[in-house]
Amino acid sequence: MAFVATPAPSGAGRFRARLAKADIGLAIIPVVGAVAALVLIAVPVAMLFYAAFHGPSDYLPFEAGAKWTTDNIVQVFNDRVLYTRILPDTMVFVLGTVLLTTSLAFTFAWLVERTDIKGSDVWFSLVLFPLLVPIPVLAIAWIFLMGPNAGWINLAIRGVFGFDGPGPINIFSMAGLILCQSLASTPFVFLLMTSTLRSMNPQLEEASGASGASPLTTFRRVTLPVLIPGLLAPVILVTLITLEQFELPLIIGLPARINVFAYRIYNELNPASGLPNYGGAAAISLPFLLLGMIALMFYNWTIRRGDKFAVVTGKAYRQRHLTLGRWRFAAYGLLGFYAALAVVLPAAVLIWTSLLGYSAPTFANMKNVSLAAYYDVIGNAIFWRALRNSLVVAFLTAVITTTVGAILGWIIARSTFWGRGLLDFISFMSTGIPAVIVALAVMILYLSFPVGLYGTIWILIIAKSYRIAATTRIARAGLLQIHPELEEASAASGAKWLPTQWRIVIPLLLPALMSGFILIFIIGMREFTIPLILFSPENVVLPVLLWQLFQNGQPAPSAALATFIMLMVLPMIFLARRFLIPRGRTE
Amino acid sequence: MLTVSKLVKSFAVPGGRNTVIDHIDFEVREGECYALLGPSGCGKTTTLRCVAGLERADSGVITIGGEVVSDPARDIHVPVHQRPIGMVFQSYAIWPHLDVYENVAYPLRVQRPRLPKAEIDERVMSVLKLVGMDSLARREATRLSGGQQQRVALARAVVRNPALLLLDEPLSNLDARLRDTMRKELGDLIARIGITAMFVTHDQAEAFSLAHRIAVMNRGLIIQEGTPRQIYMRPSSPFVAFFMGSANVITGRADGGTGQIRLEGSTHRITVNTTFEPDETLSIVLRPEQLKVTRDQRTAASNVLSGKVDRLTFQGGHIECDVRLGDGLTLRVPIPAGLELEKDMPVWVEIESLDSSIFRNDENPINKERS
Ligand SMILES: Nc1ncnc2c1ncn2[C@@H]1O[C@H](COP(=O)(O)OP(=O)(O)OP(=O)(O)O)[C@@H](O)[C@H]1O
Ligand SMILES: [Mg+2]
Repeated sequence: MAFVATPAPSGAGRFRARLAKADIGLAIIPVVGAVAALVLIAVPVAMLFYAAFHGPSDYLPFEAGAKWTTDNIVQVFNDRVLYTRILPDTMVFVLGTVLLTTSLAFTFAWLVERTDIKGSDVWFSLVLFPLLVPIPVLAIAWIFLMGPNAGWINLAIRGVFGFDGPGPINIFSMAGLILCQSLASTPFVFLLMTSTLRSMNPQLEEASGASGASPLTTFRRVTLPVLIPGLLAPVILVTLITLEQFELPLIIGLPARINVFAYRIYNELNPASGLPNYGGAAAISLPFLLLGMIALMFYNWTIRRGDKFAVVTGKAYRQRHLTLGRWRFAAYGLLGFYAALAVVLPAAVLIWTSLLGYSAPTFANMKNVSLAAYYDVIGNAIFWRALRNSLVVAFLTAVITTTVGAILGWIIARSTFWGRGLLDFISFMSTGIPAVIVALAVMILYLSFPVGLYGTIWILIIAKSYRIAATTRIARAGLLQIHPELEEASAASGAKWLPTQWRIVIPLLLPALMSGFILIFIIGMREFTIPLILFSPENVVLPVLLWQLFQNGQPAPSAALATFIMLMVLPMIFLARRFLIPRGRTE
Repeated sequence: MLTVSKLVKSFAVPGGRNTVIDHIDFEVREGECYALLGPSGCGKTTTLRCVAGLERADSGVITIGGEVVSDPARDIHVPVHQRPIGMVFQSYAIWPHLDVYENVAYPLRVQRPRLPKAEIDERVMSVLKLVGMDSLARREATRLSGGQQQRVALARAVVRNPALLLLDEPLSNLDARLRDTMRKELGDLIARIGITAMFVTHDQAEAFSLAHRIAVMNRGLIIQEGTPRQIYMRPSSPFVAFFMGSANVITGRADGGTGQIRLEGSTHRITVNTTFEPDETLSIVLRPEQLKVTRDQRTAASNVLSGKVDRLTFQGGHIECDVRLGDGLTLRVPIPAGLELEKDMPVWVEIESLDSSIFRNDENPINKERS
């Protein structure tokens, strides 16, 4: 692996060519980047393929006695359950969630960015909140709220209408699962859509008005068609994310006997009876990995189209704000409904339960208030271990992905390394790999080669660090904004390559790297899937501990822990608003 | 055709309102091309957008073709799509999802009652021909050069025969060479169509070459209105004179009652026919053609100042000559390329028709504008 000077006529090309001649020693950087990408992504995925074609299925692929076979594949695809349950359930779940999420997110983004709604900043933060909270926290709160027997909302409805229990709402159903998943996924799509809306040149709409088109015609014939590429990308992304969802299908879907694929893999590894079925789990992963890749290609294609449209210019325009008039009541109603269901009520029910146990919210119950559950949690050594593990894992994962992302971003944007296209592809591919599959792949890999990592927090860090797509993209975008002439000017001032990077490029890139770091840290704190699958008593993290407490039928301590996690997350809203979304709404 | 009277527009800013347009009046006559000229941020675009209906005025009356389109006092605000206008935006705002033809056809397609297909086709093709884009009718909008985008934007603005054409800095997005070409083309086109047009610019050359009449704006006010010639020859204030381009603006102080003015930054005096209060501060605006540099003193002229050549800048057809008249006073005068001067050579500067160049002012708006 070495730099190759290509005779490119452009300024950047010349720069690269000169750079290539100047520092052969720099070849170490692409090597480091390539190795990191391989270790984090390519090797586990290769392992997965290897395991899928090795049997018997309860053997690890390199175990003595394991050999090449297609048994796993045959068994998995001959299983009727795949066609009668898993595929249909997954499809309904994904379709329903994507539809509901997209409608909610678009409506909210539109209201906050393009109308004269009051308090848009507050709404913005409220809608963002569920993005920061680990999903088990929300899931438990929703079970407390919408559980068929004693869920608060059910109690309230029954109280008002005089129905008999249980019900009328049952969270443990496909509809309940879709609703909860949509509430949880909305903030992410909302965030992407607001930035699309913000970057649309309002003169495109004004030109339509000046051509004699009414506002409705303008919306139909200009706004929507121009925005669609920018809106399609988040929709594809949320499809992909829903496909790999594991948390809610486990916590809400399992009691409802809903069988989506991510849960299925987990089930192969933790069967009710018998040994883990590594081969089967790997085999069932393959079609979904493929599906993820296809969605990703489609996503990439959409983004390219969007770039060609050049609506997403990265520049924020001063948007015109539509007067809502009488519609504002509907707008506040809808936003209020979301805020109540996704933020306010979950917080309330968790705090209540942590203080009073799982009981109906009545004045009579209030006299039993006690902090016992909190002492329970704090007094437990496992809690402190989980807290420390969560912070260390999130921090180190963020350090690794930011560093690797910066290196890969640099290789892709600035070097002439021959494999940079492939590295770009591998890094990008990481988006399309479901967390369950990565956990599985890492598990098989480190069980097969016992180097002492299995069961430690290090395996969590390695497994989680595969998500380098975001940081790579952020670093690359940041580098592309730093004009090569800035580096050339440094060289022309007598600085060598390394001082130039150190004094010019890195300081300029720092804000971008910082936002990537915070993003990954927040995601790392929420992560549940990977730590659960790779769980050991030593590497427990907060969301997993929460889930275990809840599983053991301890509502008050689990609510106390959930409340604690929520409190921890609160400051992150400000971090996120400051670094990830520097400008809320341009007034 | 278009009348604007007592127009006021303000925007909410943190802690109050910022009045951007402060009671302006003007009229654009049928078939006229009218320019709003002024420095950045003076409220030109806002005025244009009020006329278009893209902004709601605070007060004042706007009529287009005799019909009141905006009068907040009577709660009248005709929305933009119901005003008989065509508009060229600063960014051109070519819709990326439509090709050239569909961009131009759009105003006709949204018209109700519907127009027959054949008529739409005929009208679109004829405007495209007019702007020289007929051969690119099916070109994707995202593959147009700046000049082509400008033509499409113009074609789209005139295709439905609006009563009034509005243009916001129509040339500012083009590079310098193209801007000259497009300026001529734009002028020809507006004349050929014979449409009433109002445009906004901060470039006086653009206003001079395109407009029949110009309104010079500053800080939300129209300071002077007139034909390009009037404004250039008889600026009503030092600000206007300065804004018209290459003028020297110098400060002087009146010697009481004598009609003599001491020039600040030098020991020179000039004599005029008006008398001023003693020590009154005055601005003297000298256009290049009022000044003449000679190598020997001709006593006949009344105001001749001695100085030294400070710097010569070769400009092709002529030379810019900076003449130092004192420690703090330099005049820039164009001289013919044939006149042979050298640095530090003693020269004389002759000033003609001084009387229309003197402005009384208590403050000095010019320096403020520049800072
Ligand atoms: N929507 C708005 N909200 C708040 N302030 C505004 C808004 N639009 C314009 N302004 C302010 O009004 C003033 C005048 O703006 P305007 O766009 O009319 O200036 P302009 O003369 O067209 O300047 P330029 O040559 O830079 O385009 C500026 O100070 C601007 O910041
Ligand atoms: Mg403007």
